[in-house]
Amino acid sequence: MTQLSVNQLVSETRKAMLGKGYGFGASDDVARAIEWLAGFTIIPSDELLHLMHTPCEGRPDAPDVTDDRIILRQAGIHDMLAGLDYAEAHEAQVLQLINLQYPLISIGLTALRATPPVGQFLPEDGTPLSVLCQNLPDEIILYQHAYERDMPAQWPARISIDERCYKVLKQMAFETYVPSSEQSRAAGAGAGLNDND
Amino acid sequence: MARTPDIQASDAMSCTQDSTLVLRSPQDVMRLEALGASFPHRLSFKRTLIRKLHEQKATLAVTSKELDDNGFGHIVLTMPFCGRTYSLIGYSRALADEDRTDRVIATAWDASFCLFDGVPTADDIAYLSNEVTHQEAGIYHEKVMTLSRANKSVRLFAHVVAALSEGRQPDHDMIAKIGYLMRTTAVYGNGKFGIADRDFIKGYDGLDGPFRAEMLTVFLIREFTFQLVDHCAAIQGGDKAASLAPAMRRNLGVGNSTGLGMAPFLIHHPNLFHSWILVRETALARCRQIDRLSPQRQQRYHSLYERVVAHLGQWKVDDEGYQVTIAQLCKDWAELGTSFASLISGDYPFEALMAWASEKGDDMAALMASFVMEYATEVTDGLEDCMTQARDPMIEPKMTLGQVKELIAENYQWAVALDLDAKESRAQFWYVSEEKLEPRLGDAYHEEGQSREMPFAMAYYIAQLQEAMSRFADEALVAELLLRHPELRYIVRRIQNVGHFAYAEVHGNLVGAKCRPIDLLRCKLSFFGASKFDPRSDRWTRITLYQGAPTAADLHEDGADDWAFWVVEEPADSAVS
Repeated sequence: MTQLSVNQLVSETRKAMLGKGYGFGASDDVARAIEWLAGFTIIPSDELLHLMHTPCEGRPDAPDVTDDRIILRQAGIHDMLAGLDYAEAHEAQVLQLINLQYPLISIGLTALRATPPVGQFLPEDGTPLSVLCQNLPDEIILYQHAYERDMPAQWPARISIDERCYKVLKQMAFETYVPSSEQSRAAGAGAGLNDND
Repeated sequence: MARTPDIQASDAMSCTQDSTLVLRSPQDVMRLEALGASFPHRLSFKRTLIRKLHEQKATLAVTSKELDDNGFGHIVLTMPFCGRTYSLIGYSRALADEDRTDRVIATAWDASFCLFDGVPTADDIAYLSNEVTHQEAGIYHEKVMTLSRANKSVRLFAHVVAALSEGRQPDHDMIAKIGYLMRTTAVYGNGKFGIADRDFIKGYDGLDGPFRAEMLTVFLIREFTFQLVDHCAAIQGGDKAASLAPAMRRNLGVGNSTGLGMAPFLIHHPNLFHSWILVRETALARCRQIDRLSPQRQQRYHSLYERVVAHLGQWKVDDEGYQVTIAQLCKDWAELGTSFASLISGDYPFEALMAWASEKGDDMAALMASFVMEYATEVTDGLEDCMTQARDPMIEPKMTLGQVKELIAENYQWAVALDLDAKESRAQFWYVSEEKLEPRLGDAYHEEGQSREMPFAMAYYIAQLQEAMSRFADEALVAELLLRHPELRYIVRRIQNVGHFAYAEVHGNLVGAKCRPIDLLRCKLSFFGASKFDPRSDRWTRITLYQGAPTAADLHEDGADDWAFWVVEEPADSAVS
């Protein structure tokens, strides 16, 4: 396992998402979801690995909108964001996600939609948001419990992440950097000036 | 699900809300030219830190010092502050002239530093000596709260050592012109390279304001430079060596070289940026509401007026364009002298002064804003507590596209008016280089890499959004648009956000040929409290921090806060050996 600050992980995740081909908006959402989870020392290494090894998603399918619920039959990153957008826009009581690919990240994404963004799901009418997740491993219950808490009083000093996962994130983040050239080096801030003054 | 979009009750909003205040419009103050004219003010971070240190009666101790005859080794400066103890560990190393560069791509420096949580043990100092001196390449733990490095001002450091070693104080004119013994080339915080996350230390008393840990680091680096120069002079001069006089110390700050890396922060943290500007504008608006000044207060402003005259006179730069601007400021400020007495003693003096200054242009308006805020402590102090902003921009999926269009019309006139087909409108792109991750600005027509640019081309994103929205009815919801166009999530969120956080967005084309990154740098640096901006190109600047600030030794004196528009005066004790 690799020990990191939360900001290191969040920063690499944001860049890795961009490197993977996701837009700035979705990349930022996922990074913030990771930050939220990291506050509880929950690091979804497997999901991040899967995300990095899966082609960037295209446009999501339209969700089914019924009287009381929004149903998505595929639930990747774009689907999840669209589902949350629809649930909020249509004031749906239930967001039903089928074939959820990233359950932990999804919880982080969901938590960030609460106001204040601390995992307290208390909409105006006092009805808790219900997220029904099908085909989930049993462990998700533990994590669901986690997101019903306030943010941790003490931010974790360190987080542990699977080495392979961090390596892949860094590799993908590298895709956002521009190769250096003599021209770009010479045009950099401060180039060509004498600092021995 | 009905989310409560309680965005209005954000930190800065809630503590600055006053419906009677008339704030300057974002269309005015968020222009690049206006941002690029910013001056430090009494709510700048270094000022608020000094007040806090004064209030807390903070004292400094040298808890470890091992320097060789060349001044290489380490010094640990420890300061109990607000119930905790913080230490600066500074490592001084030999550096060949050919390796001395202020750029990010440097790999060695004259000195490197970290702010340590507590008092480091000998083992801590030994372990970190091999990490901190390698900066970005080091491995850190959460006890390390900031990282920094600095290079000597070679000519001033050598001069001061030589003078002190001969029992004299250094030359006043050199001190006035250069202003620092060392200049930092980066100060890292918030979890960078594995140091402590800001969220981890945000509960630490005394470090709760924006960049507070970084500001404390720089303050302690200044003390480090005094220790180092005294040590080198003592080695060189032996018994006849003098110590740097207190008044000389006061005239020295810490230099800083700032390049492109600072600018993206303002774009990536729009709501924090909004909070800073909102607080400044609120303070200014409150000042303008003051109807009369007491004779005593008027006298203080008369003295400050004279100090500004001298301060501007000492602000000399090599950049011809900048020097012309400074000269114009001097001229206009002198012209104000004829009417200053009547304006400051009349009704609504600050309103009158700001009206006069605004006629003169952005530079004078910015200078005057800092000037009027300086002694209006009853309406300004305390607002610094509102300069944090925890809330990130959020998507509001229930908003109609008609409402989005209204927001664009209200807040992005500059973008809508831009000729997107003109070559100069997208002449540059911001990116991160593979080379030590140095932020750079590329020529869009002659350099590779635009596909990896940072997301700063707002006018173009808005055009893409408008094109996409044209295929939807105005009643359609944002959720429906984003379902079809997930790639527009970023710009939609920015547009929605600026409806709540009016100062969150720069009103200017950051990728246009005329964009001068230095405008963004100066704005951010003014909030740090930087003065004497000394641009070396339109991409980077040198500045000075803490010049005129109380040193650790005189933090407790009365009037410790009165150092705005500092004037370097030849100290009475300059000839004392």
